[in-house]
Amino acid sequence: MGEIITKHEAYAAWDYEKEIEQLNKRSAEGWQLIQGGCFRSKYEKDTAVQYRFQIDFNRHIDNKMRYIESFKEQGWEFISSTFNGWHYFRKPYDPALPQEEYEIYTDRPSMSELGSRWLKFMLPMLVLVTVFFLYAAYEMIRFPELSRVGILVEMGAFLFLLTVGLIKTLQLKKGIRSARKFPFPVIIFLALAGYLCFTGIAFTKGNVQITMKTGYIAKEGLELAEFSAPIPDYYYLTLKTRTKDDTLITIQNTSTGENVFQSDSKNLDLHKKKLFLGRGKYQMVMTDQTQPGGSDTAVSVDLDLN
Amino acid sequence: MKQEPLTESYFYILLCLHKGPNHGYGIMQEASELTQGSVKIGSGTMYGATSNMIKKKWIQECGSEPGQERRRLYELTEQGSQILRAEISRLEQLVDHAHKITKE
Repeated sequence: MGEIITKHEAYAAWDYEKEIEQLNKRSAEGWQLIQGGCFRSKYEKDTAVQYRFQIDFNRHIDNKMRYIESFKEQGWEFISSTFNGWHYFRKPYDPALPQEEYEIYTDRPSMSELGSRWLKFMLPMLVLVTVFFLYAAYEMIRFPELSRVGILVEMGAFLFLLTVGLIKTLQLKKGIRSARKFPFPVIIFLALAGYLCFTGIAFTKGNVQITMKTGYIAKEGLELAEFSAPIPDYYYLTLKTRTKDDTLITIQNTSTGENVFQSDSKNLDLHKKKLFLGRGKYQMVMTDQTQPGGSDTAVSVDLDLN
Repeated sequence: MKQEPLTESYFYILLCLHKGPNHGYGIMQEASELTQGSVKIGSGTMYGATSNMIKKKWIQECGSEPGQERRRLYELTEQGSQILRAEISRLEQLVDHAHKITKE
């Protein structure tokens, strides 16, 4: 048994033929594939032989023995299968034999069936990514202050997946055999990473800062600030007010009407008070409690939320 | 319902089973000999076609030849024979029609 090396490499769908070419090339160099994979392949050193490789895609093989025998009959040695339905085969290379000897799909209908299997495999994932995508777009419209980097990455990944996937499927249906392997894990990972960036990691919670010196406080309230909490989390409120009359300060979720903060002190001095805010838009209001109809009063507010 | 035309591979597989049971490799070789090498049925195509035809009950597995246990044999079912006969007469009709037009 020769030396064994493990290579970590991922091939994209449009690189399908490249992967086979690469395997053939490595074989000529004396490295023989002994285990194929989406991300990890193993090779064994053996300079005495040279092989030609083929990769098949079929996720629903009802009789694996019969499947492997069908290949074995024509000189194909089964190497390995991946978890997601790719099967690797090899055949000793003889330069005297015609190229057809190294093909496994020899007519258009069977190649088209391969395309259908491929599409069937891809559709549920496309639907899933579309749902993610639409949800992210909806969130982006709802909270325009969010970081756009994540969503752009996700949209990019999605559009890439959709166009390349469909083009390649159509090509396959037409019998152009160049696109059979698609790095779904990579794309899904990108989309997911994009989504995570979008909803949390890459984006700061938002920082509201207001300094107000005077204002007119009506009975129904003077609106001091409006802000959004883009993700449900703890926020820190630093608030300082100086007023002449008794006032009521509230922070209210505008969609649910829920009060998350309330204080009726004349002089408020809060330093980094921990507040839990659910996702949504908030309003901070100051109401005069003494004068009917409100009053023109001197107010000094310093608000810092992060 | 009108029978859909068979693909070339399906047709030759059924045809090569007409005389009796045969295995995949035998079918591939006979088809190739019969057509002087113009019809080659690769492994992927062969597996797909036999799987489909087993599902449709046109062919069935029938064990293996003594001494060649690794090669499973296939044989035509009654339905498979009918399909083959229907396809042959359909093809004959096509050729008849073509002759009618071109040989006048």
